[in-house]
Amino acid sequence: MNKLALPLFMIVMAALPQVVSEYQVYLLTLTVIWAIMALSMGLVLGYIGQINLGQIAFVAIAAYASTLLRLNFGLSFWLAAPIALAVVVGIAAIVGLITLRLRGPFFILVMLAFAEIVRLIIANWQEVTNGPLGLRGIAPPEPIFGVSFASKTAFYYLALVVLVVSLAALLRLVRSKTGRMLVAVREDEILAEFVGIPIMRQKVTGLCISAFVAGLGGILLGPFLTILAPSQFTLFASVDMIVMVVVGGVGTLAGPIIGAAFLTYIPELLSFANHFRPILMGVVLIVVTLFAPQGILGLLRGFKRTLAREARDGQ
Amino acid sequence: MLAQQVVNGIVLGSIYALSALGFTLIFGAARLVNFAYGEILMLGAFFTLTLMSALGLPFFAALPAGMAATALLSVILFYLTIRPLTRKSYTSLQGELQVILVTLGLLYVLRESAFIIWGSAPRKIEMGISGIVMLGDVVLTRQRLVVILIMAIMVTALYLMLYRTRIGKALRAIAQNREGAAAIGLDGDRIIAFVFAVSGALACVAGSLLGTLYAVEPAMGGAPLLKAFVIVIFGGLGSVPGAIAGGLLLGLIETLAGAYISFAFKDIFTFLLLIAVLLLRPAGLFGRTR
Amino acid sequence: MASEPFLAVDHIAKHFGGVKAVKDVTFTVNRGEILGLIGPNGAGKTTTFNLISGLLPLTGGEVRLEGRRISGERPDRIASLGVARTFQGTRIFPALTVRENLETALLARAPVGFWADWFGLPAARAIHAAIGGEVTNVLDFIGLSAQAERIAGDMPYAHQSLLGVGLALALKPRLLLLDEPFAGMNPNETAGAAAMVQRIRDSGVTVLFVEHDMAAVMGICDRIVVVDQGSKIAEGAPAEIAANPRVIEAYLGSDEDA
Repeated sequence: MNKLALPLFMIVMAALPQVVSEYQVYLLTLTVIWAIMALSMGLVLGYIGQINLGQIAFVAIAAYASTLLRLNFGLSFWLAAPIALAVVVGIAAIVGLITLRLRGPFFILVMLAFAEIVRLIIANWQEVTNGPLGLRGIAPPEPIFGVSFASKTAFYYLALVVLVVSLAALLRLVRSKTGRMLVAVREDEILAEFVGIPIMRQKVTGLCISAFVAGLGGILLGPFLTILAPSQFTLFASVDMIVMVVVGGVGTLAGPIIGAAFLTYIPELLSFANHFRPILMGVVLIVVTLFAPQGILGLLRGFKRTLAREARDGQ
Repeated sequence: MLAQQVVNGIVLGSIYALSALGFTLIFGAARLVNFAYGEILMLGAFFTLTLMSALGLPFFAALPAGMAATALLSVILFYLTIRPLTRKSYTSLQGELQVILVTLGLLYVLRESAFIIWGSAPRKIEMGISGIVMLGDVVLTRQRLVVILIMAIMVTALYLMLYRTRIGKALRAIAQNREGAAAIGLDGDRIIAFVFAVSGALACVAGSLLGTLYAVEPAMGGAPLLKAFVIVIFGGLGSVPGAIAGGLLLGLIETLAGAYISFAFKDIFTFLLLIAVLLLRPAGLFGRTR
Repeated sequence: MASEPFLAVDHIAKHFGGVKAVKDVTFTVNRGEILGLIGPNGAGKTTTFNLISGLLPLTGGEVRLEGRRISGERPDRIASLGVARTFQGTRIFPALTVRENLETALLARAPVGFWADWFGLPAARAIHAAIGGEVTNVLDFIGLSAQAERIAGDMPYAHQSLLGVGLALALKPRLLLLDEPFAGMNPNETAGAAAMVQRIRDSGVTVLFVEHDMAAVMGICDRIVVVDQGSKIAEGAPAEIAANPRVIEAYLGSDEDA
């Protein structure tokens, strides 16, 4: 069933723009970009076992770096994006080497400080970033291989491809040695070190991969919103990602995507007033943490188990 | 002028110290990082403001009532959201992380509730004290002098509570050794609830004072929360004297860096300092390194 | 060097502040034997054990493996030299299945390339297949084949304890250090675990274990070292130890909860 889930998901997501309105395509794109970012947070929460309140900084760095390269140096999106991703991974490696030694609240606080530093630099480095007013008029990616991304639908497909490729790559990753070593370190550091796992190297590798995925979300953000401003990259954006992961299910890769769909698409669909979205996020985070710490996927699994038990008892 | 900047720094630092005290008390007693603390502080300020505007109370009458209300709210939130987690053994995430998630959720809920109840317009709390005092060349408004005084009174009261009362002793016992305290029959939950009450009261004072100097608004909680993080890391997470010293230090650093280095980049400077402290002295500037 | 014993524990000491947990302990372990390290609670046997495996730094003395000094090395380095240990209270990866636990221990030092494994290249697959085979062997050896797909943290303690031994065996040690392998086991389980310890020895691995319960030790040890209050008080064959008045006094005089 799980083997079928990914292709099925791809087919449904690919078919949707053919049947829905342009506004729905906008919403779907937003959901897909949030799903990419939530996926990056899912890796941190589920496989490094830490809360990273600085995750949004990786998104911000990729978004600004790629957009500035395009605006100031005239690079094409397709050249600016890989450079921006390399920058993000480099920064994640340096930050990780410094911060991943710290445990529990200290890691959380220092990553929060890191994200604040990044946001404050963006807000105050007026000459380059245009400060709080932000960068405006960001164009869609240039055509490549004869494919234009000027239309909303074409851009949606680009985002979807990024999501599906990231998901497939991460699914492989968590089943490879790297993924197993990350889980081992998360489960018991002393035992992990004893069986010969280089702990710091594993954690830094994990953070770099996660930052890369967050960066993928970042490079899409500029062309999608056409505006980048420091106010988009506050602590609350990191928390939103956490809520998505927790709601979907920690320790899985499908979880963050389900969470992103629930918390981006559904509230917009029900056209909640903007005020109620944060409250909804907060209430959902509290309720899920208290009553369903395994998230939606955990509930589904529990439901399946109950059904199986009833079927067995019935015989 | 240096002397003037130092005095300004002490005023700012007094409020920072008060903000950080409530945060660090909770960490010290219960090992909980309370991300909703800034919002408790904001609500405390709104309680004082509302008591003044609705009942016409003067500031010094509204403040104690506001403190009581904030303390009560803080305790209720503890019993509703945090205690169920500290009771339960963890499942998919460690308990510590779950508490952080829940308090992050509270942060959203409290801030947006305030937004819906009071709107986003910033409002000032009038202390009803005017005039200035000259200390040599240094100008100090009477209002700012009162801020320093209130912080001194609060710190004294906190120390008396911690070192002269039975509950204070129990609290310190719990902070040092949770199991040991339970073994001699101390009820951990009730003491931690008490800490939440004290923390709420202190947050109300800090929020109300911020409201007299700047403004009361739903978004005001974010900055004090970040400052509290910085301060408790400067001073050592969980340390009361560390929070006071760290608060004053941060006030001075910010004021001096803002005046002599760059106003726009003073916060960046603070956070870089924070990271440096975390890496070089993880137990805090004033803490003992193990 | 021909006279150098397999493992030499040479006048080791460990002080915690003013407390001398281990004052001065000296003994040797011969290749291919099962040596029991026993003593009443608080005698310093677990500290001795942690000193040998490198989990704690020594205050004095040294530990040599085949003449080579290993004290002062990092625990993972000592492990890679062929000294594996289990942990008191058992350390496993609780969220993983039994099979995955053993795979993890085997995979940790396997020469699998990061990219080759990510993209599932044939070289990486071959290594995974080889590891799969080794896991099956270890599962057989520790008698957990039937539990291979269970989540390790959900198993009863005795099974977790066996898995702990399996994790140590997966490191292919020449010397295996077992920390209270029979703790929390009923007599049946103890007998099974004791038989396993003998099979481990028969497969060519030297075994040193710490045990609190004297009776469990007597049947399977070739030699026994007894420590009390941080010092060695006796050494010899099980029969000699059982008759040694100092040992009897140490056990009867110090604690009753054994």
